[in-house]
Amino acid sequence: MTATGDRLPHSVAPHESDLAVRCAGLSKRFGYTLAVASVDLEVKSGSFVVLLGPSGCGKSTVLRLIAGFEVPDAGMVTIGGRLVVGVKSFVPPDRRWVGMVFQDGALFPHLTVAGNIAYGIRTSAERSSRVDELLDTVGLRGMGNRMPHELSGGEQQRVALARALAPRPTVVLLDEPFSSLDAGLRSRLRTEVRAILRQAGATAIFVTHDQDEALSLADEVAVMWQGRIVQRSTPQELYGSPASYEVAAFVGDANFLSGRADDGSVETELGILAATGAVTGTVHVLVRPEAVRVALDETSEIAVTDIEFFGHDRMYGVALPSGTRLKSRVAGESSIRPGDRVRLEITGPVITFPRASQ
Amino acid sequence: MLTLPAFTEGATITDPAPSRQQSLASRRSFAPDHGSLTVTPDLRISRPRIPLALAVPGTLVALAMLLPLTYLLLRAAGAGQEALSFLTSPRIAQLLWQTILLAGAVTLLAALLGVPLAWLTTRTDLPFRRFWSVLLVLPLAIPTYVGAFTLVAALGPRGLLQQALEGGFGIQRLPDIYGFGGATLALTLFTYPYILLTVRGAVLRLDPGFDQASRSLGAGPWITFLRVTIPLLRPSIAAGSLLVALYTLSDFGAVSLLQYDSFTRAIYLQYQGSLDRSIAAVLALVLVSLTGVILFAEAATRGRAKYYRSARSIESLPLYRLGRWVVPAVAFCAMTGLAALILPVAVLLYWFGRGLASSTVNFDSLWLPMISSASVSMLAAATALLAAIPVAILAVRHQGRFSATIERVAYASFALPGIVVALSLVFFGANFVPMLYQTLALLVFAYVVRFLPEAVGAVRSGLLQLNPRLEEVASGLGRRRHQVFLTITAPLIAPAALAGVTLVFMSAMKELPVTLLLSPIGFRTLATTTWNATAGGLYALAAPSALLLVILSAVFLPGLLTADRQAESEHVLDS
Repeated sequence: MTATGDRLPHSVAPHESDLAVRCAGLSKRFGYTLAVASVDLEVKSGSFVVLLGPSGCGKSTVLRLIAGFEVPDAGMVTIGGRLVVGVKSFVPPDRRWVGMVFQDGALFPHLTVAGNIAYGIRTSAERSSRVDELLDTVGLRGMGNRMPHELSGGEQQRVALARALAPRPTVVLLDEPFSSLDAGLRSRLRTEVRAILRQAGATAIFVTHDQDEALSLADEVAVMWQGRIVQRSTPQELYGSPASYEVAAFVGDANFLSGRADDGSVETELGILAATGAVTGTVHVLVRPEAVRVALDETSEIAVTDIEFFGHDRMYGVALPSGTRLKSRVAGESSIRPGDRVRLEITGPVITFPRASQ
Repeated sequence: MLTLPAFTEGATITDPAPSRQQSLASRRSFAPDHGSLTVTPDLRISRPRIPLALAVPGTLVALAMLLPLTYLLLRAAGAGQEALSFLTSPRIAQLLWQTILLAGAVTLLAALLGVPLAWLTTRTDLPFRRFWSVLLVLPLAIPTYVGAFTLVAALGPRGLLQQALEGGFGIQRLPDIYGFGGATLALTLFTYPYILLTVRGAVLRLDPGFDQASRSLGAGPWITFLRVTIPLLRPSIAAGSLLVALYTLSDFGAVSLLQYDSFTRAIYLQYQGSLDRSIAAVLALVLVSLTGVILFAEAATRGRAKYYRSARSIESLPLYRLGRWVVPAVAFCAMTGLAALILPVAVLLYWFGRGLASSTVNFDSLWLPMISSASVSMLAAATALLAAIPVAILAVRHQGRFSATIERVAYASFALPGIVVALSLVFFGANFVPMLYQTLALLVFAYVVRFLPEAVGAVRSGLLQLNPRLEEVASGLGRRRHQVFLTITAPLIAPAALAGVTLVFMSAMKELPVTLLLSPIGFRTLATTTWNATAGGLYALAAPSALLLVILSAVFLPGLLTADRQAESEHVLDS
């Protein structure tokens, strides 16, 4: 399986000096588990890259390798063009100029908010003005004297971000920073954090297992699977043309049918569908739920099995005569009920993956 | 950064570089099939090493901890034929039997006291539960030799009871308090709180869900108790019993005062009385082997089941109703409290009063030992903390074979009874460092060797509670290792470190055999004053220092227990 970065328009190897972070052949083993397997990653200055993958796929380890908290078994990392780990060289974390934001904030509990933010600022002349500036940036003006335990979860994460930005690091690494917050706060905070990072002109690598987070935040998403980066692309491209069956299954809701593909079309139990990709032979056919339309049809053999209501839209579960189940996402009002017979219509071309790839 | 090439994480200390390369390469070939990961030797990353600032002090501490046992081994190996043939003599067999008998009896009786008391004070509607749960732990503040002293002073010849009876009834002799009975009684009364505390901790950590699940499945309270609660408590009962057994094996004061011939007393008598001190060394080694066997057996039979709370529930457990059992239950608690705490303290107060009245006791004879005790114990506590910090940091933050070895060695003195440490250092001091022999430096060193595990344990639990992300963030923000330690780690582990210091301080205050054998001539502490006066039958002279020891221990005890419990509960939540 190869990374598909070469599909990107900007994939022409960027000049080294434009890169905030470059990893090449990065590998790390824990015991007999290969946590990170030959990962290549380039992050351009000022960009926001999300490492997306299921838990245990090695994405946090990549972050810790970049920060210097773990030592790779092979490969190299440069930060701002400087080799920080590679053949016979290891720069300790305190000389790498990376900012870290962890899931739990990891604020120093014995220091005030201002003390936390000031911790990484070297020059004492700059300290208090920089702290005030950052408190403003993260919207916590006047809260410098609070202790961390007096802050809400969201406020704690904003302080953690301000603290990471304080020494003007080459890159900010965020390790699932919102996963311990509740859903509403999470989506508000991620928009804010995105804006703060953009305003600061910071480069960021963001690790998450939450696809919504990845799709909504990233300039570029790198999908990790079993220690490898299996796809790098823009969020739109990732959703529209996933590089593999696994990526397709992980990113967004997906229906899979089996079928036989032949030159731009694929034969499935729903009939012959238009397909992208030049695959022939036995394939997995990806049909996104929003590409499945349902309409009442008493003569059909397809039955609605369940309905999940989400407010803005609803998801129908339908059972094909063969027993295969599909999901269909439909916006707006509808009178369809469980047990009704429906006919299906597939809009747009479907995507096929060779079966052997599984 | 200063680094030490030999001490790479994950490699043994003596591992030469080429073989390490090989082992790395062979490990790679075990890779599950994730495609090809080829690593040419040229691409080897230079790994960050354990910093010298930790590796060097850690190694020195480990070597210091090994000194007593190593020297004892050398000494015994150099022993004459006579000493070696002594190993197979009936005397050894007799000592082994008497020591094991005492440890067995004390452990069994302590469990019979400790387990029901733990259950009564936590899970039942016992009246005044809080009062009992404090009162019944307090005997821990009475060192066993002080306890033995009160036993002798109350029940021994010319003791309180005999005097009273003699006056009224002309009775000249009481059943003998000396020997097996007295030693068992004293050790049981003052060690059962170890079992009470470990079991009570386990009861409080029990997930109410287990209990409720059992009840909802149709099991009554008794079936639930027998089939769910007791099996869940078994590890804690075993842990508490282990503490009591080890304590009994290493106890010197009580068995000596009560003249029961167990190993520690035999070692001391041999050391004092004989020309061939190698025999004492041989005896000490046999005792160490015995504690080693017990530790090993416990580790080997420890159940493999892990007990978790399934959630962070703070829901309180439903209490069992005692009903008509309430009277025997209260009587049981009251009798234990009376025998283990009230009577001993009353005896101490009585003799203290008599000493005051007859002006045998003046405050000079009390102040001097107290200042001596406190200052030497303070020195020991501070030194132990300094020695514990590198060991604990290595163990928690730099896991690997090197750190594990250091940590294990640092804990090894758990298996070394005080008399053994003392004896070995007496030999060592007299033969190799005569300028240190009979100095405070050697005494402090002996305390540190003996009580380092307590300090390491406290610092270690403090570090375990410290989120490692905090230190990572700090170094990511550009602070050097020592700066991170001073600005983040040290302030955050300070409470745990303080608990460790207090623990060592108290242990050193109470320590008898080490103080007895290693104190400079004329250096009198509370412990040695108590012991000498009791051994000489001067009860009024022994009482003040004994009373002071008990009061000091009692003052520090609650704080230590809370610190301990917090560390323990955190530890459980972490797992």
